[in-house]
Amino acid sequence: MNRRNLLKVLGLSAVGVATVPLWMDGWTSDDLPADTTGLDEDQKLVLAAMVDTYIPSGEIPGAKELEVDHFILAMVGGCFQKETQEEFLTGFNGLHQSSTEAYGSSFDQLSTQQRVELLIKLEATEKDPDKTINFVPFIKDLTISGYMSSKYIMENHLGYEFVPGRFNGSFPVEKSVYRNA
Amino acid sequence: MANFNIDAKTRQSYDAIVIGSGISGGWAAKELTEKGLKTLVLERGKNVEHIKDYPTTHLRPWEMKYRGRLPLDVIEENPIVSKCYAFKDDAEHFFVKDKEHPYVQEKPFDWIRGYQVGGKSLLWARQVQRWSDFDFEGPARDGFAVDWPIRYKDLAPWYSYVEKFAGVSGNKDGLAELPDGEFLRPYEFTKVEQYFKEQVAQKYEDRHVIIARCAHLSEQKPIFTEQGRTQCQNRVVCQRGCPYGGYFSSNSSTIPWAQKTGNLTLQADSVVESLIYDEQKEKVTGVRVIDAKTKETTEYFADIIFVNAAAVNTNLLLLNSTSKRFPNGLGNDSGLLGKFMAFHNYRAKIQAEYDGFLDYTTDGNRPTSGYIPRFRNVRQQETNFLRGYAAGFGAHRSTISNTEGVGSTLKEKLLNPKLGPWRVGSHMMGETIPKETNFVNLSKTETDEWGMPLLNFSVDYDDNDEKMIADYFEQMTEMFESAGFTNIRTSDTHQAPGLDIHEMGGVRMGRDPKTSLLNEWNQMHHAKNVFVTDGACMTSTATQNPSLTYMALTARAVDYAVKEMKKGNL
Ligand SMILES: Cc1cc2nc3c(=O)[nH]c(=O)nc-3n(C[C@H](O)[C@H](O)[C@H](O)COP(=O)(O)OP(=O)(O)OC[C@H]3O[C@@H](n4cnc5c(N)ncnc54)[C@H](O)[C@@H]3O)c2cc1C
Repeated sequence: MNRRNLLKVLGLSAVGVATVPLWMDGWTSDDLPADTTGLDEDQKLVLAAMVDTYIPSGEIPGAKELEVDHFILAMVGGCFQKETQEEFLTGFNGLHQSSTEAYGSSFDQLSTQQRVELLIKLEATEKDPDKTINFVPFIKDLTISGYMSSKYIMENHLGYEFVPGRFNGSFPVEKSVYRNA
Repeated sequence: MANFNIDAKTRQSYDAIVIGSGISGGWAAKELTEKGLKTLVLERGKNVEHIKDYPTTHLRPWEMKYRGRLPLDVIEENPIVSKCYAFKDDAEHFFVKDKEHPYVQEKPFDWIRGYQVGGKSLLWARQVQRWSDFDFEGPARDGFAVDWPIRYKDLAPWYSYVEKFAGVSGNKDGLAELPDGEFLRPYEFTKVEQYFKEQVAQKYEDRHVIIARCAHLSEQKPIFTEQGRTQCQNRVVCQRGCPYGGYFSSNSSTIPWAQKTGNLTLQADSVVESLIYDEQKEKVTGVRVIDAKTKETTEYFADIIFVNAAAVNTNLLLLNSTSKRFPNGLGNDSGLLGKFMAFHNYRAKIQAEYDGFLDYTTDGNRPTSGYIPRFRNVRQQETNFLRGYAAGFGAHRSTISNTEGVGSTLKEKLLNPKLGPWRVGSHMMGETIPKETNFVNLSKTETDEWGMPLLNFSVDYDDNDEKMIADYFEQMTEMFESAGFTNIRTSDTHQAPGLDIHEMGGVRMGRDPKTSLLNEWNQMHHAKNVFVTDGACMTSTATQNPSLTYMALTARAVDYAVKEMKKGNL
């Protein structure tokens, strides 16, 4: 892979690579609790592919670059019941089955187009109220919450300030980060 | 042996002992040391030094282990304290864990505690409203509990005194039912709060929406600089401990102040087991302390004792202080110790939406919220229940979370968030009526790790509370409807007493030793050198967040105690 392509895969611009990538500043996935879910390496690739499909990279980093897959592992390992953790694990088998049935290969090997199609289909069909989680929607929710609570997105796109030093009770929406107009 | 005891006695003697270093104990320490008394503060928990011991205070959301959520095992191990809204990843280390300090629940009671230097002052929501005579006169007018031995005029100068030092932000609203104080600049209303205030004012003469007074430095003054505190920076992660000292806590304010006098000895990890009553001298001479870690027992002696272990633990301590003279607990000739416990009824909530002012939102953070002072039965009895409720009130824009789609369509939506309607909400803070049947007592069979009897709770709601909830729903719904709020939903959390964290009573003040334990100076009728100035002293509860009143009562009681001491009366 030539340098240009590598940069593209990493979602970096040629300028940015010389310095520490902006979103890595002060936070890395090493700060997250260690993974205790028991996911194997292949499944981790699938998880990375899933978050990448939901929120792909572009001008603004996507979920994989912001290591949202690591966040999901930490959350599942620490904040959910045993039953959910088991359904999380078996969910990968289900996805693998759907993926091979439809396209003949593992989810992480599919084209972007195929991954998007498959996730849309599974999101619409996985609605079993008896399960503690429905795998694909569950991953989607965690992807969104991990992405939206990431340093990069909070600071650069959600107007997050840790020390605002002010409160304004009537602030015009048009001056805010919100795009209502 | 005899010599050794005398030695120990001189070595471990102080002018004053304060039990507990929370909001009230911190004030006792400040006042006593400032007046020149060598003061020992005994705190059962670990030391928490301002700034240095706030491990999470600088963490951004993405630096929190689980982005602010608690791991499941912590929640499962702590079914009681997990119910408290502030028991999260960033502050769980300041809360007592269920297993470490068990208690007995004859009736369900969610006992939320903070055992450390600073007590719950690190964790509190910092809301500070004064009482008025409509509150102090309640028991006498409505015929419950006993008459308060004090009135507003007795406490007003002391409210001013503590407000000036602690720093209280508020607006001068000119309401007799919620007297103004020594206020720093108030925080702003949001657009819809301001609108609601105006709507309510138009329709009801006696109902007011104000900005809640809070113990925050909304502006700087020399007295705060002197304490080493600076202006509140609107981070609103207060429960972690504030490196700016932007809100009042014992740790940022009263304790360092007391330390500067050179008269304070602060001893952490010291569980006071009982107060020592000397049958010959007919007075309390000191306290018995168990080292929290080694379990070793030591005795400390002093001329006056301030009991500030927080309302319920003060009851436990006094019940556990038995002697030949006081077989049922210190000063308990009346048999009322532990009885007439009360709390605030926080069960009722109401939510709604508003579609006006959609061009506006808020910017930055505010460490307080709106507040509606009690408007029921204030000047006379007018409903089918006694007393009434205050209410919290707030309105903020909601965000629309549109998470449809996969890939760039989803990303586009997430990165262009939109605001939804205003979300409007209120919660009730109801006065409960103290009753003899609401009590705490000591377990006869179970003890804790330190050999102290477990405390048993038998405290419950009553019919008056149920009627009050119904009225709150009715009145708030009407007020919301007439302001044009929509999608109004009421809910009763049915939470147990205790989760309000405003437990009070058991060692109440009164005029008559037959029907109360403390006099008008928070002094025990039958043990004159013992003062109780935490929530245990409360004769009734009113509707206001109580800690400001504990502070004022404490400063006032110290003033009296030291004068009495100098006169040789103690
Ligand atoms: C989340 C939360 C929000 C709150 N919000 C508000 C609010 O907005 N407004 C308000 O007015 N109040 C509020 N409160 C309540 C407020 O924190 C208490 O009223 C206040 O802290 C009581 O002060 P205190 O000195 O009596 O007790 P604490 O501050 O609890 O201090 C008591 C101290 O005594 C120590 N102690 C106990 N037993 C012993 C013993 N045997 N020996 C030695 N030491 C002992 C404890 O370890 C503790 O440090 C809130 C509380 C919480 C937890």
